[in-house]
Amino acid sequence: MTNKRHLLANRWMLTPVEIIAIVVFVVLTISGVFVSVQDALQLGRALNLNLTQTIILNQGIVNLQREVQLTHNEVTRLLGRLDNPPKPITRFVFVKIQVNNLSIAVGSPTRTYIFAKDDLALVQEIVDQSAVIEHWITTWEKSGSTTQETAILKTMDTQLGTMETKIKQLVDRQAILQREEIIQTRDSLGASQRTTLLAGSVLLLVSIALAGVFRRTLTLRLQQAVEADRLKSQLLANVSHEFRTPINAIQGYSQLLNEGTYGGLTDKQQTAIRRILINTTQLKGMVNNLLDRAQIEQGRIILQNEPFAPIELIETTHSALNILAETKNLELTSEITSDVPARLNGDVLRLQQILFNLVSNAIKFTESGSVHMRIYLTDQEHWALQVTDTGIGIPLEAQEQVFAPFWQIDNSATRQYRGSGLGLSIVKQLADLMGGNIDLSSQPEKGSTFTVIFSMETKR
Amino acid sequence: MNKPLALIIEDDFDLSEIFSTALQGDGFETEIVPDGKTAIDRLTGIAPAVILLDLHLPQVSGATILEKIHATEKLAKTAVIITTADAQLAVGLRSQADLVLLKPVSVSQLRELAKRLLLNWQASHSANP
Repeated sequence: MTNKRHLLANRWMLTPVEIIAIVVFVVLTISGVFVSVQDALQLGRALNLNLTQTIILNQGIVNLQREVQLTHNEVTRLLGRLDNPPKPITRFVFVKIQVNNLSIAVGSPTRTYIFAKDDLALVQEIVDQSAVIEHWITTWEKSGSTTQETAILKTMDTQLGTMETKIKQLVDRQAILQREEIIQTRDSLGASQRTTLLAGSVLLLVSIALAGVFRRTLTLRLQQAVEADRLKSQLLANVSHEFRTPINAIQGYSQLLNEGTYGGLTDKQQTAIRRILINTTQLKGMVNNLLDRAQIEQGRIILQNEPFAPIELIETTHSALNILAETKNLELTSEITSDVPARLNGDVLRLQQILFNLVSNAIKFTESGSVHMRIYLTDQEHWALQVTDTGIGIPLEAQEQVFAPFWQIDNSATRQYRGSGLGLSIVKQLADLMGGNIDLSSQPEKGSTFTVIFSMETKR
Repeated sequence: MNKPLALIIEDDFDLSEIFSTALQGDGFETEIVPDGKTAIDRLTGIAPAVILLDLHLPQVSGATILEKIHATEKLAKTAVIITTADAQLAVGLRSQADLVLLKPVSVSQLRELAKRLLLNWQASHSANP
């Protein structure tokens, strides 16, 4: 979190990249490459840039100055004098500029380009792409957990890659144009167009360079985050057995006590042992999900494909979770339609886990009414596992996100509805592994229906 | 009628206690053996109605014990139940057992099973006194 802030938010706090940039800046200034540090800093402030961006802007001015034979001072003054100085559109694209009806201008680190109007669409795509990246940066800055951060970084890395490809595409297309033509076009422009062109070129140049710098920083962060996540998953996968054994022992003894195997209990003792059982069931569900996520990420889950009785799925889930449903006065009901064969093929343990997660999720988010489990055939080749509740439901805009790891409707929900936020993401991952499809239909305040459809010939 | 004997071959102390208590509650006599070597020794002397067999055991593996059981004539009528968390291993050995219980085994699951085994045992004992 702190590093992100340094990188993107606290404009004048120094990151390692910035320190290196300052050193380069000072060396270049001493060696006379930069004519006026003062001018550059002023321009940077005027354009709302941070130090790194200012330095990159300077490098751009130096390049441009070489290109159009203006002095550094003249370029900075030109930019400063504009009645309508270009405003940043996003952190990466400051301006897209149309010189006249036929041309648009773009700067690159080494030269100024004028593109045919045909390329406007591509420039627009770069702008759009950078807006997407902007969105992800904001999400990244707000992200809490390392895992969430890694997922966002991965998405951003892909987006930045796409943007870089598009920028390269733009530059490559230009490379086939004759340089004389470019200069001719540029020379034929009027003074104000030339000024606008300069401004646009410098600022687009900044955006291109920034995207590169940011991507390199991001790649490093991503590598670190991915490695941290991998180590964590490995540790969890390794200690999986050690975690499960004591929880199973606690659950076993509690069940024996609860059933009176060790003798009758007083009412208070019975209440206490029920609470122990309920909490152990919840803890076990969470631990199983965490461990399975680690195992899935490590590629350690090997699916079985054996015949099993569908009734087993329902019975096991019912016996494990009924105690949770009873506590909330919910009815936990089930149905297997008559067309379902007595034996289906698949990995019964993983299917049990899918059903366990769907049902415990339904119980968690239902305050009154019922939770219904159903196994039925969708057609000759497919069967489905379905869980319907009468709970709080999921708003349409959130329905796509519910399968993301660690997601809950809002953060306050984590406290209200205890849990790791992993259940549904495990359901999705396991269903994907088995070649199954998940369908969700839900209405806020009415309830939700989760359906997982599997092929009769389950994928091995 | 004597109570049928359930031999629990399991190295986890808690798990063997839970299995034992659950089976006793349903009318079995139980004996716990915590390692493979003791299990092999013990199996020469007794003919339990049920054997609950863990596969990962110290000294002698569950697979070896399975071989021993099948080679011992007086254990021909014994119901052999494998209990393991290793689904892959279980699949390989399932043909050699009457039942495979994948751990974690819930107490209610175990008690259901015990009731059925007890009925079977009673039926076979009244048929062949």
